[in-house]
Amino acid sequence: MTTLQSQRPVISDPPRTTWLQTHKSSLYVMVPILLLGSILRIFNMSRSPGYVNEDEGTYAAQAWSVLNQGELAHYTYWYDHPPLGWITMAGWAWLTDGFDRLESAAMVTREVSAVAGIISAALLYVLARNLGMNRGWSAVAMTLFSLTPLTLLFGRMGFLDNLSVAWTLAALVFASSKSKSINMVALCALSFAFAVLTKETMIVVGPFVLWMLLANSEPRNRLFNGVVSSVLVIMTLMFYPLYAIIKGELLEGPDHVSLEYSLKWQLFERAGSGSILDPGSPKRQTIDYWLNTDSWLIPTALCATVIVVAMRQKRLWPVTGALLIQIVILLRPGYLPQPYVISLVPFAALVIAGAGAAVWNWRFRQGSHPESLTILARLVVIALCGTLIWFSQSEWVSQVKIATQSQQGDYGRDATRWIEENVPHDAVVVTDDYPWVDLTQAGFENVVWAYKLNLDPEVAAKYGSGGWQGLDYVMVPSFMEEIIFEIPPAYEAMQHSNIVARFGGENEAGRYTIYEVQKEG
Amino acid sequence: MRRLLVVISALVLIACAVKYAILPILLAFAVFSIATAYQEIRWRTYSRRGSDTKLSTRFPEPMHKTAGERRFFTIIIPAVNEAEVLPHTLQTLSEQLYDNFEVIVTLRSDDPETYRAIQPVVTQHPDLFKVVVTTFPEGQRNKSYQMNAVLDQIRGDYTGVIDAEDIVALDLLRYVDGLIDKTGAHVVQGGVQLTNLDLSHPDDSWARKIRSYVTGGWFAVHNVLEYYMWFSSRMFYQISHGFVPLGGNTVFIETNTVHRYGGWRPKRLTEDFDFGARMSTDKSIIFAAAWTPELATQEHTPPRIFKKGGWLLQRVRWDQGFIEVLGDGMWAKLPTLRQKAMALYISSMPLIQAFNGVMLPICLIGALSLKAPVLLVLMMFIPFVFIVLSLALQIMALREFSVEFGIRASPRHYISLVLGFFPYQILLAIAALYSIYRHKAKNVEWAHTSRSVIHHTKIHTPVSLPQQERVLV
Repeated sequence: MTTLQSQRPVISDPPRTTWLQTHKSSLYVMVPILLLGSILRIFNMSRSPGYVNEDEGTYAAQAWSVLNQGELAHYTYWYDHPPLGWITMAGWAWLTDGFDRLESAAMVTREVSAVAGIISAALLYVLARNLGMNRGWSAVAMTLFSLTPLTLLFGRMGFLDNLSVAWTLAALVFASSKSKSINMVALCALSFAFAVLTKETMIVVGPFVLWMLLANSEPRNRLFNGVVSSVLVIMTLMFYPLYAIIKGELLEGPDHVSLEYSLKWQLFERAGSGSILDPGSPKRQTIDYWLNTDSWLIPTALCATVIVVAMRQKRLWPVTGALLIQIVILLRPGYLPQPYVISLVPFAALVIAGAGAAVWNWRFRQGSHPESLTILARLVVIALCGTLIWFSQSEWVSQVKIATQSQQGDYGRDATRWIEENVPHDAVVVTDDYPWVDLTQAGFENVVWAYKLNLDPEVAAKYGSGGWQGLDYVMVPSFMEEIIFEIPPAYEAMQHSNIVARFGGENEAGRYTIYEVQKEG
Repeated sequence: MRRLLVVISALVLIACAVKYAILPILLAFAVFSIATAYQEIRWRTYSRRGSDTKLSTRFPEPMHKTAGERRFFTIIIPAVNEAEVLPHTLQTLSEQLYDNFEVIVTLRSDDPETYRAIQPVVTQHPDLFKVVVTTFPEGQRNKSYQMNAVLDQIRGDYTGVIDAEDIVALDLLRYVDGLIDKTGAHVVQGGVQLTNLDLSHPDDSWARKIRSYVTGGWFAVHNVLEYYMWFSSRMFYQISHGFVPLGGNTVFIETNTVHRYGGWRPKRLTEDFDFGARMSTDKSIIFAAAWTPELATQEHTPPRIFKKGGWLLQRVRWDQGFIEVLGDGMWAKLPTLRQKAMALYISSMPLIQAFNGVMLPICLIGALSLKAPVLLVLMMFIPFVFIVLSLALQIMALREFSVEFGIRASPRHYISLVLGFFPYQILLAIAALYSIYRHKAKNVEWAHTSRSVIHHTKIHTPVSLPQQERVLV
């Protein structure tokens, strides 16, 4: 076979493009939204919201303990959550010197949440693109996620859910990747396992991640990809009980915490939040709180679900399923934590954008004027979007105002500073978990996390055995006021105390009251 | 006396290491174990690393060629005491759908039985088969010598090596020719596959089957899957990393290259590994491999594990061959550091496998009982993730094998795979240790592997004079 080389025209190679050049258009769309979202997450981060959910302080204390004490928790780790979340926060604090740089340790968790949220927004865009949406609708998904009042509230706080969402979105991006190599399969499995090791409730989304992976694979590779990813996920999750086995804390027994006990407690024995139908139940109140913050996102997402199913948008069905399963679970009896909504938001945003894209690109199969029907559909979409924006903007504006102008975080910081300046360092100070690290770092040797007076036998023996007289000061934040009667030594101490400082208004969230115990004699 | 001193000082060294430096040692072992276990997964999944990689490992469809355009192949078959199986192999070769090749059967003069046994087939196709009988002096009798004895009689552009007990696919040569056209390769490694999942015959009684299974047959599955993964995945991994120990079967080398290297090295127990390793250091030599199940050469596992002619001695020979290649330092002759590291890893794989297989549980138990830091113990579990994944890959491979080769794998084979996993590791470790011992003792006696004969053919053996006789001084 001879080639007539001399007579061939010279064709040069196509010009090489850099990554930036290839992804120019996407970056034009993504970067402004990322910037806006980042500003809204970071601005006034330490002051708003205030010290209103103690989990932030707990995670900060546990991260501090990982770095400074080499332990998984500042008190005994009792397997309430797998520890990857606060280990990540500890890593961030180590890299950025967080605990020394920031006056309030809990803000470290907020920084990590902010970073996780920015990464999640970018991942959400990529995921939307992988699922076939064009740049416009992918930007819609990303905008919904970044700007919804729910993100402006819960996304600014240091919850594990924010980190877990980032890992889950990464897993979904790998599952839907165009490359389809075994590396993508392995990364998907690893990311999802990390998501579960950060927040164990993410496990319910697992089958849907697997669904997306298998749907994205060639039929001949499905068994292989399914087996490899499942083995990797299970084996990685095994490290959690493995840790318990190494510590001898896997099974229940006298005198020690155990993974078995914690699992049983979480699943069966924990007091439920009541029924959604009962207006007074904590569950109903939580859901009302979410809907008050943003009354449009979740209901619109549910309507979008119908469109996505009816229009047979199969590539979106896994994420739709992930949204629905989480909603089904929250309706069932059981405890409902407030930050639960965080993991609903990205899926809701995707489903809404996906439904919008489906209607926008709708092509009527037959008919005399197919184009006019498409134009009609697009006008409907525009009208709907406009209506939604019109009605939801007031909630959005009010949440932005709260985020940027509220100063409630100052109350907690001022209260902590007051203790540092006015109380001797060897005094026994009963607090919540927000100031725990700050006071410990300031040199206080006897900082006691209030709940541990009841729940931890060692703490009870050390500090509670003398009754209320063993305590010197009690710091009471707003969220503890109603339940402190459950901790007898602290409650009695309050009965025998004077209020020496108050931060924040009478019914304001984030307020702190400091009690000084009046000892007899 | 000197040996005793060496042993005592080694024990003292180990005791000191354990007492004072146990944690760093455990850490070093953990890192080593993770790195090698990860590479193990990489080569096992190499042919599935992309969504259509497996398809691309197949032989390409050859172009249509006229008689003059086809390459002339010379196939060498070295044989000793193969009277029962060689005639059938030659018969299948005579049925090849390719018409431009010759077969040179190279025999030893002290093996008249094999010579007589193949006469009927050979005399039927005088243009195709050539039998060369050579007298080898004591101490110069192995496969290399037998192959080198016929080097100057090779007429083909490419020289292939086939084992005496093989069933060669009828269309193999046409596809090898096509692969050479496509890749310009100097060396082509085709696929070889063991095809018996049991040692017992399907017609044997239940009692015999169970006894055969328990006393040795359980290893067959593992052996079969080793070959399956070697030729369908690891060959491509090795070629892409530029260091290719060859299999001594269904391998085709350009004749000029064979002559340039002076043939196969006789002092090597695995002349095939050795040849591949030497050629790997010459970057101008192009290697190619292909895996199409229908074109794989079919063989059988050894008929037993222990004793003469069994699996263990065969594995010991292979492991010794790897040690020899390792000792030759071929891996160090590659250009970049990364290539050297990969070549070192490939050369040492049987030793690494055996070492890890035994040391990992020991170190883990040690770490747990010594109350080592939690992070270290967790690190030592990472290789187990890869091991479980490896087991899952093997189970899927067994299913693929049974589909591709039409050989049914029943539940007991899967159970055998899972339950026999660790015992097989122990066998591999025993083989590796024994091979080190033999290497140190400079024992290079070649242990011939017995054949498990599934077909019994009756051959009439007319006595006639040898066609050619040469004496090697």
